[in-house]
Amino acid sequence: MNCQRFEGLVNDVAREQIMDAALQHEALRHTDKCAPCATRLNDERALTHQLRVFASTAKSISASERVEARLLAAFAAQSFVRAQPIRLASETRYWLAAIAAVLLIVGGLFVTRFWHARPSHSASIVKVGETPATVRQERSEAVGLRSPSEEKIQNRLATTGSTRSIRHRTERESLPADAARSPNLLNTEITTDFFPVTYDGAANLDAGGQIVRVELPRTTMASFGLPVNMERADEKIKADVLLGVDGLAHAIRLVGNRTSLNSPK
Amino acid sequence: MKPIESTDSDLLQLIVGGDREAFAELYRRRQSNVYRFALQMSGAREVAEDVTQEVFMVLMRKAGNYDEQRGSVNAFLLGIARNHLLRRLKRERLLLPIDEAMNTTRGEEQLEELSRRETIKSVQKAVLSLPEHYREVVVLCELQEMSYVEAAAVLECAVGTVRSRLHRARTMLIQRLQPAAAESLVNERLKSARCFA
Repeated sequence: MNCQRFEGLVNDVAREQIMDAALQHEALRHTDKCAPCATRLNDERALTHQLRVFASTAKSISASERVEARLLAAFAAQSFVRAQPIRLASETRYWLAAIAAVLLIVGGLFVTRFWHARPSHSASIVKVGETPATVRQERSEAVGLRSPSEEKIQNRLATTGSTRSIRHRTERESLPADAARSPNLLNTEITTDFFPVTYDGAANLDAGGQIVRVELPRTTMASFGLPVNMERADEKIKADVLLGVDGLAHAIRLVGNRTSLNSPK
Repeated sequence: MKPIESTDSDLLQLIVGGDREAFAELYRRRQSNVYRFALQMSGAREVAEDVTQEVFMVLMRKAGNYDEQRGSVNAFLLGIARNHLLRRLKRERLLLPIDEAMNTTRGEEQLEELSRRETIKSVQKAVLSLPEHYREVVVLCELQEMSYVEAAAVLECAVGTVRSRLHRARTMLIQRLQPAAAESLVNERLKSARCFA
């Protein structure tokens, strides 16, 4: 072995690294013959010793406990932050669902309005621009003369009700004719006129009011002078109750499909 | 629930899933290596603590980046520590005086202990005076007792590079420690001379 070859091995020999035993023996034999390489090996061994002493002093050293405390707190905080997007995602889903629901409702209303505005029905639908007087006139032509209280109730409905409710009512009133034309309309809802249920009639209706749909025993029809089919007396019939601002019922009308109202017997 | 004898890799997987106990366990297992590496590289306790904290903060966020094929978890952590440390050293041009934290012996100091402490101080000084790329090899291979392969994984270089850097670094250390060694030898001789006088 020459000095150059020894120089390449001296680190491993001094550091007592795992190496080929024959190679190590050869390197050590070289130091017997070469004084500079022997000195070099001694220096290397001394350095290894010094470094090991230095390393041993640092073996027990570790970071302070406050570092651990800070890190564990940060980990907990990060876990919270990591959980946040899930919460945000669920909130987002909630709002998306709400928006979708609103869109569906608006879309449904639009489709409903569009369906009502189709040409086959347009003849019986009151247009938005029409005045209540026109509506009243049309209705009185359709249903004939009424008592003053009935008239007042109907006027009130015409002036305070939405265009949509007017449209519905007018449509209902014209249903028999439509039904005659189309058998599919036989099950469409139709109504009677409003019957006043108090003596003062529609006295308080100028301040406003609302219509509430209720279900009544079929025998109630008798109290309004309508014939009752006793075989169906245990059944119920729908009715619209006109409530005033005072919360009292001022008028009532009976609701049903064409069959049930036309053939109550 | 983690296994009783979890490997570092197992713990990392649990950390990815947000397991606080796994994080605490891995920290307790590996913080000492990271801290010592940072301390021996910087010579400053404060820097070593900051780097240790940074390393484990990175681990929290990027535990999923660990690739078992590229080395041990220890090497992964020391690699992160090295990157942080080099950035910091570059930014602050930091080469701080020797920290007293390494001198753990207390009480009545004997002559041998004094000599030992001087040796430690001089070695630490010499190590700290090395250029960074030599210093890190010495710290990893000599002070952390890592194999060439492990050190190569930390430094992301070839094993041959580690060997050659270590060889060069040791030669430089010998040169830097020789005057101190010679001086301490002279001191020893003077003491002996005084005793015999």
